[in-house]
Order: sequence, then C-alpha cells, then structure tokens
Amino acid sequence: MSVEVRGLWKRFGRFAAVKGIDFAVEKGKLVGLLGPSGSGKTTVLRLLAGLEIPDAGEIRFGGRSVIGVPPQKRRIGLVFQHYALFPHMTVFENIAFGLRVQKRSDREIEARVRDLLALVGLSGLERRFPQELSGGQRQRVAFARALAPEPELLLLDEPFAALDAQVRKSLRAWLREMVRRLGITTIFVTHDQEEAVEMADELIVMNEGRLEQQGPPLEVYRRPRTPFVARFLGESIEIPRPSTLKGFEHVDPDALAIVRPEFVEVGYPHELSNLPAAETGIVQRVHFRGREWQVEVAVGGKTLAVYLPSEREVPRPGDEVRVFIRRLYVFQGEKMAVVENENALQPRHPARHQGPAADGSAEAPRGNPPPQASGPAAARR
Amino acid sequence: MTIIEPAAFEGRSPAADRPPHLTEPRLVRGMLIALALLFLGVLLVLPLIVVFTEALQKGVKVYAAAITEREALSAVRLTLAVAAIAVPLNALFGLAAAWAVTRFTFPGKNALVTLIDLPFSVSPVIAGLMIVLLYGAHGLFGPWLAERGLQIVFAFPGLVLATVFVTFPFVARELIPTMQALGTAQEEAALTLGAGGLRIFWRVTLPNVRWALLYGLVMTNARAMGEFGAVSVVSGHIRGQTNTIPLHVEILYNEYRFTAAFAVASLLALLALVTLGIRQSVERRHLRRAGGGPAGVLAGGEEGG
Ligand SMILES: Nc1ncnc2c1ncn2[C@@H]1O[C@H](COP(=O)(O)OP(=O)(O)OP(=O)(O)O)[C@@H](O)[C@H]1O
Ligand SMILES: [Mg+2]
Repeated sequence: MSVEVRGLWKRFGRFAAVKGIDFAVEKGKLVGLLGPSGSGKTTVLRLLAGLEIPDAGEIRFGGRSVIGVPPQKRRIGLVFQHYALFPHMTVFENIAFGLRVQKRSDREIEARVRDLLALVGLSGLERRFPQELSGGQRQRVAFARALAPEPELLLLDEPFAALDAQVRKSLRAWLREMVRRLGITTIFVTHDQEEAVEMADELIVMNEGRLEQQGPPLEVYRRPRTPFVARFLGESIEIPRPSTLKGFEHVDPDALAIVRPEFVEVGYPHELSNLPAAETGIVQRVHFRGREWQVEVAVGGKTLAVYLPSEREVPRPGDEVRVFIRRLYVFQGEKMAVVENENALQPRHPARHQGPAADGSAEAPRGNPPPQASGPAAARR
Repeated sequence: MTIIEPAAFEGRSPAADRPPHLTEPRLVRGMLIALALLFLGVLLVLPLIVVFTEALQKGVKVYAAAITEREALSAVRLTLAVAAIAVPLNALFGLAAAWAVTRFTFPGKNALVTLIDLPFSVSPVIAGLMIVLLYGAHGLFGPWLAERGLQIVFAFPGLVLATVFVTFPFVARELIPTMQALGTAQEEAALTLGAGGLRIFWRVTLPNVRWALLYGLVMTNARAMGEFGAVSVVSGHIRGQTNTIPLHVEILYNEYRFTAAFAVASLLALLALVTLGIRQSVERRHLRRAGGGPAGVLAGGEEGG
C-alpha cells in the first residue's frame, strides 16, 4: 500500500511535534524514518497508525484518505519499541489475537499462526509466555503478531532499540530479508543512522518536527540537502571560512562548509600524491579503533578526524603531517554544493585511507565514491 | 550476550544475603524485631485470642446457640446482602474511575482523584450523618421520598448507601497505579490489530489488572462487612431488621451478653483471617506473575534473555 502525507501537523498543547510534513512512500518500499531524539518520529508513526489525530494535513493509503479512519480499519501492523506483547497470553495467543478479532475459524488460525511462527523462526515456542522469551524472540513475536492480520503497511517504532548489539545486527538483516520477501510496505523509526542506512531502501530524515530530506541512503549521504543532514548522517566537521583552504579559494568565505573524514587524506609528505595542494597539520591524538586508526589532526585551528587502516604506519601525536582535503560540502542559504579541490590531480588514484569505520558508525558508501561531477559552480563567487 | 538483566539485581530481596557491613548491628536488629513483635502481639494477636477464648468460654454449644440465634442469623444475612450489593457496585465504580483517570485527560481530573479518596478522610460517622441529612425524614429529599413511600434511612437502602460510600476508594485506589504503570501500549497494540473497545477491555486490560482488582475487591468486602460507624448512624438498630453483624455485636455487648457478643464477633474475626489469607496469596501472585501488577509488568517488559 502506498503512503502519501501532505502538510501534516500535530500539536501537543502549544508544542508542535510535527510541523507540516510531506512525503510519499511507494508500495513495497522499506523506509527508514531517521532523526534525533524528540524530532517527532514516533509521532509521525502514530499519526499514520491512527493513534494520534493530526491537527492539519492529509494522509493517504493507496490513494485513499484515512483521516477519520480508526486504527482498527487502517490495515496496518504496528510493532512497538517495547513490543507491548500481552503478558497473560502465550506466544500462540499473542499472534492469534488479530485473527480472532477477524473471527477466522480455529483451523485457519492454527495454520496461519504456525506459518508465522515458522516465518519468524520460533516454531516450538508457541506455548511459552512472553516473559519466558529473550528480547530478540519477543521482538519476533511482536513482528509475527503485527503480520498476522495481513496488514498492508507495517510500522515499526525503534524495533531493535531494546536489544544488544549482536542480536540487533542479526535481526536487522533478518527483518530486511523478511520485508523484502513479503513485499509489504514498511516504515521503521530509528535514531541509529547505521541501522537506517543498512536496512532502508529510502530514508526520511527528520529534525524538530520537520522533514529535512528524503531519498535513497546513498543519495542522502552523498548529497545532504541541509547542514543538519550532513551533520546527522556520517561524521562531519564544520569548516569556517573555507576559502582559506588550499584548492578552495574560490568558495564564498561566508558559506558554511562541512568536511567528512573520508574527504581528507593525511600522511607524511612521501605518502601523499597531491602534495602541492596539501595543508600542513599537527597530529593531535591517535585512537585505535580495531579495524582502523582514528587520527585527529589540527589544521588552521580546526581539528579534523580521519581514519587510517590499522595495518598502515600511523603518525604519532605531535607529528607534522600533510593534509589534503579533497572535497567539501558547501551550504549557502538553501543551496548545497559538493565542491572538489581545484588542485586535485586528475585522474585521482584511489585514496588509501578509506574504509569503513570499525564501529561502522560513520559511513554509508563502502569503498571509494566515484569522482563527483556535480555542482561546484553553485557555490562559486 | 551482553544484556545486563536489571531483574537479576533488583529482584533480589533486600533482606536476604545482605553483607554484614551493610546492615545494622545485631543488638539494634534484635531490638527492632522484638519491638515489632511486641506491638503485633499486644495489638493484634492478643485481642484475636481473647475473642475466640471468650466466645468459646462456655463451650461449643453456647457458641453455636449464640450464632444461630434468630437475630444473629438475620444480622449475618443482612451483612451478606449489603456486601453483595456494595462490592459489585464499587467494582464497577472503581474500574470506571480508574479507566477515566488513566486513559483520558479531562478538566477536573486531579479533583476527581482527590475526591475518590474522600471517604477515607471523612469520619464514617459523618458519612452516615450525610445520608441522614439527605434522605432522612427531615432531610433534603426526605419529603419527596416520603410521598412515594420510599424509605432509605433506617432501612436496607441506607445501609447499602453508607457501605458503598465508605468502601468506594478501595478498588479505584488499587487499580489507578496499576493501570498507570501498565500504560496504554498493549491497548494500542490491540487497537491496531483490529480489536474494539469491549474486546480490549476484557481480553487485554482486565487480565492485566485482575490481581489488583481482586485485591481491591477483597479489601472492599472486608470493610463492607466490618463497617460500624456509618452504618450505625443510618441503621436505626431495629433488631432482626437493620442490624448488621458489627451492630449486633454492640447490642449484645451492651446487654452484658459477653459470650454471645464474642461469639458473633468471632465471625468477623474469622472473616478478617480469611481476608488476610486471600490477600496474602493474591499479593504473592501479584508479584510473581508478570502482568499482575506494576512490579510484574515492569519485570515482564524489561528482563532480557
Ligand atoms: N503525548 C504527548 N504530549 C506532549 N508532548 C508529546 C507527546 N508525545 C510526544 N510529545 C513531544 O513531541 C516531540 C516528539 O516526540 P516523538 O516521541 O515523536 O519523538 P521521537 O522522534 O520519537 O523521539 P525518540 O527518538 O526519543 O523516540 C517530543 O518533544 C515530545 O516531548
Ligand atoms: Mg520515539
């Protein structure tokens, strides 16, 4: 079922939690609703579910307005952050709840619950009570329960927030597979960008009740439309007066520039190919992060973080190194431009320092992004 | 797995295996325990023993005669009838009040919560007087009722009214915190699964609060049967007609029929003991079973595996 939201507002007393949001979700897509805490993600989900009534705006499911339609009639499945399983019912009865509401025959219910149990990999546990299950198992029961009445839209509120990192990772992949297989339109809320980027076909980034950007993860990551998105997704450092940097003299000095660790190369002079265009920096700190080193380098009063593969020779704190900034995001008013370093050698050979961060928190595109042909002109004086 | 189970830490009884350096010196402990036991003994156990020994002092026959006497039986019947009406009424009221308070926001909600407790803070005698002033012969509705031949004060309806008033906080007070702790997530989940209001109430809400409700009902019943003050004011003490068990005990006592008085009183004491027993087992289940009460719900929601 496709979802369309237009000009959606929700106030709690005088506080506006959702401020005029527009977005559309195609049928069968897995969409991540991403934003910091308090940005209104849960509220949007509850509005879609019909658990909150919007103050203004339109919500359409499959082209039909659902304003005024009660939650029971919206054909949605909702999985709560803490699952909200019925503690006095067995796993079987929890999953069967929605089917009993539909007055299906016992045989049918039995069969459907068995299928769902197999689907979520919990066959054999149907007689257990929720409190006799692990966190991950409860999560899957909640998922099966939401799927049982065959909803056309699945809404998940921070489905993995209460699980530990290992379980979370495996369930993530599992859920993505499951949703793809079922082809059910799914919107999941998260404030974990790694989770969002890894699972979603499309991201909706929210901040303070507003929609900042919608698009495929790679696009949102590579071409953040607002400084907020650039900061929120991936690691980023703001550069004041970007025109003082070598190779970026043409950038408006008053524009806001943001650099990501993967846009920066750091090394001793013999290691860098773009030597003439490189700045000089002093290594501040070096952290071992497992798969790589995080190196903080001070350049012209700013501290930049870069990641170096852990097998590489790593500079020591206090060392003078060369820093080549390959690319900047430049924000000017409503416009964002990806600006390449003018002095970059063409064609550039692959940067050696790139690689996923050990904690996986920073990056979306794995490997080297192709050279961007897009829009430096926008930010030129 | 790296899940830290909060239940594993919090679930431990605070008294059990507390290291010595965290607990009080032996002497202090001993004194506290002795003091508590002395208190209990003098105020609870001793009176209970006295009631039963006095009641059985002149033998089982006299005891049996005292409680099967016509007036005693009618008092028992009346008390049971009053409780049989007051308890369900207050169950209904308590559920409605708890539902309203925990599921809706409306103006005057805080006032309602305070008002629910009013019967606990008003002396039962005042409660009885209120009823007399409202429905008595010279009361506000007195003439109107008299015209229609309805008698409330000094009759069964008055007893019920007084009892309902005095006992109405029990269920609501028990349910409100339980339902608050329970939250609305389960009900909302049921809603999105297509369930209507009635089904949600019977299948989701009620099972979750059943122990709290039962606990409230047991307390309501105990108080309904044992109530003296308010009932005394509205009863009129018509023997064999408007005397409940506690009132009957008083009458016997005033007539120096001590053995009979204690025999009938022993019925109330027995009721108290049964109530205590039920309460104990309800409390235990309340705590043990997730979903029974606030403690259970939290443990059920948080513990990981
Ligand atoms: N029922 C409510 N009454 C008043 N304010 C509310 C209510 N629900 C949410 N809010 C407010 O609306 C804002 C958005 O809340 P929401 O729960 O949607 O945030 P969120 O993005 O889901 O955050 P989190 O990641 O912490 O769950 C918050 O500032 C919150 O305090
Ligand atoms: Mg939320």
